[in-house]
Amino acid sequence: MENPKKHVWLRRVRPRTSYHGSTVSIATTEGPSCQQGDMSECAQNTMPKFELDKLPDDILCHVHSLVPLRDAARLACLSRSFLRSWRCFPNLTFKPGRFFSNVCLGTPFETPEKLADRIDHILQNHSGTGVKTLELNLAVCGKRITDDRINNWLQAAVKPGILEIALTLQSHFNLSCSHISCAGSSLQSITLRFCAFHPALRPGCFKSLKSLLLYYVDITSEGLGFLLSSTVSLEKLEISHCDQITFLNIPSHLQQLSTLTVSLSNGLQMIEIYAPKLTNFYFHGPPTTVLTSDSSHLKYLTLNGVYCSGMIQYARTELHSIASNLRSLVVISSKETFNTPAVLSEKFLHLRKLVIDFSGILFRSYDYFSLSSFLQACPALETFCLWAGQCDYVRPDPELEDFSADSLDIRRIPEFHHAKLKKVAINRFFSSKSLIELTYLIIEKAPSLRYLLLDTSHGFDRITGKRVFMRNQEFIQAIIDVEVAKRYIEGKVPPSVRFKLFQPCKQCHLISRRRLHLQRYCASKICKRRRCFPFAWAYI
Amino acid sequence: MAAAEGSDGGKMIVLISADGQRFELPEAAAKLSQIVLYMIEDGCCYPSIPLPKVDGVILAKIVEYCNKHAALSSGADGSSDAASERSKERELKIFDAEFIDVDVTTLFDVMMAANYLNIKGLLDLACQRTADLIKGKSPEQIRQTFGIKNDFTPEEEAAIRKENAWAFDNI
Repeated sequence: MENPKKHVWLRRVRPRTSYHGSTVSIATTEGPSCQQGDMSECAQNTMPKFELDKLPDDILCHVHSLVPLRDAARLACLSRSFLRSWRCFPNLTFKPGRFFSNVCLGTPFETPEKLADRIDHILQNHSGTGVKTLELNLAVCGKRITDDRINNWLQAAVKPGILEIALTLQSHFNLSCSHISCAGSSLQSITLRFCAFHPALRPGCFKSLKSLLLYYVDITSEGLGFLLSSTVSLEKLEISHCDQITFLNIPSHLQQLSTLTVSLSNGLQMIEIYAPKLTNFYFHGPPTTVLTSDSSHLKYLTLNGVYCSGMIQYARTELHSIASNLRSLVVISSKETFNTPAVLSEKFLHLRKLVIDFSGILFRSYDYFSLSSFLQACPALETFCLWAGQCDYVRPDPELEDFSADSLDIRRIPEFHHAKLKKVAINRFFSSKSLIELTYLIIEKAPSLRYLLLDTSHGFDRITGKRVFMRNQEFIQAIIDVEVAKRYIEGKVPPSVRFKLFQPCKQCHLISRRRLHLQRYCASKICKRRRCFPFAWAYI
Repeated sequence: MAAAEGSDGGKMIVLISADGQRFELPEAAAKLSQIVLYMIEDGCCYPSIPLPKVDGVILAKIVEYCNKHAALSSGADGSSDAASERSKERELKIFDAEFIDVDVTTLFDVMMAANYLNIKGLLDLACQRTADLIKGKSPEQIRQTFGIKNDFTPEEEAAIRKENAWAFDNI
């Protein structure tokens, strides 16, 4: 019995990725070679075999529930005990992937029909008890499934005891609240995409609900108000692309709510937050009026102003009244009309981490030196990451071309002093006088500085985590930027600071003309050289 | 003897397998088993706890599992550093993956023993491993690997196969 064990170990070394079904092929193609040998050996020795159907019913059902729907359906054809367990299979996940196999082979008209038949079939034969998860994703059906059919499915699957519902429906479908409120007391998670939902529920109906996610849902402010008033233990709320909502009120009875995400809901004009434990807030959209009952609650805030204008200005003027007690702040902006003024009137005394991202190409002439006012306003700041604006065709600042470091007319702030700043990263660094001035200021006036990174590449895409490719022109420019940084900054960095000047690497960052047509954010080759992985903290 | 002090000062518990082998393990590790926990609470764990349903080979594995998990989770209250927590979690994950990578006979025995001793973490681990082995296999392969007897009549089997025909494409 020693030998097979060794084989098993060797087999296990290969990672089981679930990428285009290789989980399956590893198990089937490599598994049996030793397992079959193993079993015949077992049979000869009359050793006890693994008799799956001899397991106690609850364990058998548990094992059954852990396999995907398709494999579970095949298991049902093996023995009566599995068939019994299949009749109350808990995880009904009707979503693209293995469940949809062979559905999408026909014409676009056949696909929804085949899929609907398949779901009908499964739900008709299901006993209707024991369902814990219902995931229904009709994204491929293109609105061709009738509302009655969807209603029937929901009626069949959503019963008291269900824990999780994730529905991706069709935008004209009106989700009746009676379908989900019947299971209200057990539901812990609701995710709705592409449907209309106009709830009228009694308060406290969803007493176990912890997570509520709404994407592209046609729901009004009042409807959402009803929904929130029917919950008590909500921990996470996410609202995205719900354009009908004009007014969002997070009531104070949501004592457990800790995370709120509001993103790209175009009609939204006002957000009022009264929930006392709300510490994480992610906001994406144009600067919007936010009221908080106590400005000391929010700790981690992201203000994403991509596609909008004036988010940094908003952070400067309005933020303190909303969140005075922040630990971490990320501000992303696509357009700013003002430079930050020399002094910020309010201070963020507890802010440890600040990320300012100038996203887009409109910041070529922005005065980055003015950001020193942010540093002054945050005396406890330890980590500062700046993403300078992207530049399509940057011309080097003419002032930087001929002069040496000493002759450059550098602005300085004599009274500036920062005692806590440890890590500073300037990503997408380019030859700009104001950036160099800001760097000088930090080097000279922040004695606690330990790490300084200047990255001339385009860094990583924050959402996908992949490197952003550069065009040839940008790549050449980045090399010039490195020269400028060497000339002006390298010599000035004190020896106590770990300084890293990061130059894009041809393998990782350069995109050829051919690959330009492909996704810009897709790094096919990842360079393993250590210098291509500078400080990880700098890219958050 | 059974309640001897361990090297770190904690009490030691002695488990005796079906074939009479003795296993000594710290109380904290033994308590991972609900059934042993109840026996310790009731004070009937001395001089030793006989486990007539668990074979020595399997009990050795289970003791190994309990020792590792108890050792790594005991430090948690002392140093609640997030980074060390994460590294411990990673270590446990690697240990679990190697631990459960056994042939199906042992897997079955471990599962039954975990169920009998009521060690939830180990039972979940064994169930997940079994489910992973099932994924993507054809019914015949599963039958062979896991020794499942076909107790359907031919008509019944044809009916259920027809009902779930969609699951048999592209196997």
